[in-house]
Amino acid sequence: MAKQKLEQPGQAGLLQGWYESWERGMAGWWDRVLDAPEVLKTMNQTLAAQTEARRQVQQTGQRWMERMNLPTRSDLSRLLRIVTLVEERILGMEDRLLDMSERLIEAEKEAMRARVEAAEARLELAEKLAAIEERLTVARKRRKSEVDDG
Amino acid sequence: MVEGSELLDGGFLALAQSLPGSDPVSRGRKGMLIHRTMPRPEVATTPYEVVHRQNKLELKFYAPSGPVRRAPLVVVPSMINRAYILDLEPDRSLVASMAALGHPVYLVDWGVPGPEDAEIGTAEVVLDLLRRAVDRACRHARAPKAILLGYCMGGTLSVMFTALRGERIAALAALATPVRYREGGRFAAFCRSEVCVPEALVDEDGLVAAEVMEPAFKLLDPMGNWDKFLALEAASHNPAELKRALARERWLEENVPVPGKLAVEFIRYGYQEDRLLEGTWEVRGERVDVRRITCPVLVTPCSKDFIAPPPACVPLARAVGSADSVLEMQDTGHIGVVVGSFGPKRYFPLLDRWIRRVAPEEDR
Repeated sequence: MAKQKLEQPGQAGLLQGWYESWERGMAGWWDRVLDAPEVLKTMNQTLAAQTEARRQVQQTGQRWMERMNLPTRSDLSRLLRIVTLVEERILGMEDRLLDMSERLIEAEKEAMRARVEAAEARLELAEKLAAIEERLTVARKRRKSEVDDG
Repeated sequence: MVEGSELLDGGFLALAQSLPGSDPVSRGRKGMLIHRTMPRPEVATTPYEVVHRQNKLELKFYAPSGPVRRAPLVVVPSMINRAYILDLEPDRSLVASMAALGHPVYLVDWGVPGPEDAEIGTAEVVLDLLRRAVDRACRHARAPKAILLGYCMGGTLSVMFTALRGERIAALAALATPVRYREGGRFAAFCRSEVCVPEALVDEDGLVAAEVMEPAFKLLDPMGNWDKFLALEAASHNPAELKRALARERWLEENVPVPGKLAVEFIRYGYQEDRLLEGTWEVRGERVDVRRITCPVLVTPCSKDFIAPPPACVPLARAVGSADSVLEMQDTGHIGVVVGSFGPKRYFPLLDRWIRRVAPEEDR
């Protein structure tokens, strides 16, 4: 039993070692295989053949739908494409509306600023007028007292 | 939502673990059984609000913690996979982490294209869909400009957009973004004009089917297809780890088809003719000239990336016309950078620091 226990880690280590060397070998082999242009070409051809098979199935389905006078996949795609184009136009209008509303907000801010500036100017003018009036009143009083005295 | 403990309670898991043998082959067999039978956990659980829709595209807003004082961060994922890779698990989610750091995050979810989208090409994606998404994000955040973060193919689209319509872009971050396509590793070899006719991969619906995309990606890392079973078996002894592994599997399995026109353009103009950095890629008659990108740029390739290897990503840092272009190599893989522990530990803080530098907080 004790002997078996001692042997187990060794066996596991050996297996792990074999596995790691197998993995390294496989990785190297894949690298060589996948660097070969012939292999890459064949793989591409396989994917193209798979796509072609898919295309055939899709075309057959389409023909069956046409025979049954039902809307086909491409009919629906065409419709959806039109919907997408309409959506694009609506969003384009939304773009313009958003730009316009931004400009409007900017113009409103500008108008508000101008109104505030005008009000401030009016206020300043009123203050100046009040000051002149005050000085005039003082001058009038002085003139009156001079006339009375004199 | 399937909790880890519920996963462990599954009868198939117990069955898989009761299979004899602890050697790698037996463990791989157990992993296969787990892979085949275990339910996939719920993903993309971060709450969001859809603030804009166009066709299949949804612009998802992830509210930041605290008041919105920063430029919106518009995240653009690849169009050949599901966008939820950027929100796979709550504790490692890019969108949730950036929102928690105070950034208003807007994720561009491209959705799943149908036959009606067959005629969508680079021009429609960049100049219509992405342009409007950026515009709506800026309007929603009441900011004049946005920060664009593109991941993988989404990065390439972001580069194109910034070069063509950069007025609304304050800064551009390109994560694992291939731009020098001839250096694109095994995928570039697979797409070479001598071996690949892209039009032959487009089906009757005008799409490159998910069933065609899947084997092409599996070929990028053939041994990874076996190693994942070992990883699943190893993870099966810890409910949280198993849940993580199964969430990744879910994302890998849920492939999406690609509009034929877009796929053909990317293979032909990108991988076969390498037009982007040459400045000869035209979008609706306009040449894409990356030298016109003058905003701050952060280029972050991943050193262990075999989908967008560093030689394909690094040249962007020098090709742009920006005086503030930073290159930061990430010591991780293409997917690990957004779903692994690397993200919260290294990449998200780096991105946060960079954004705080290039787009300081403003009073609104």
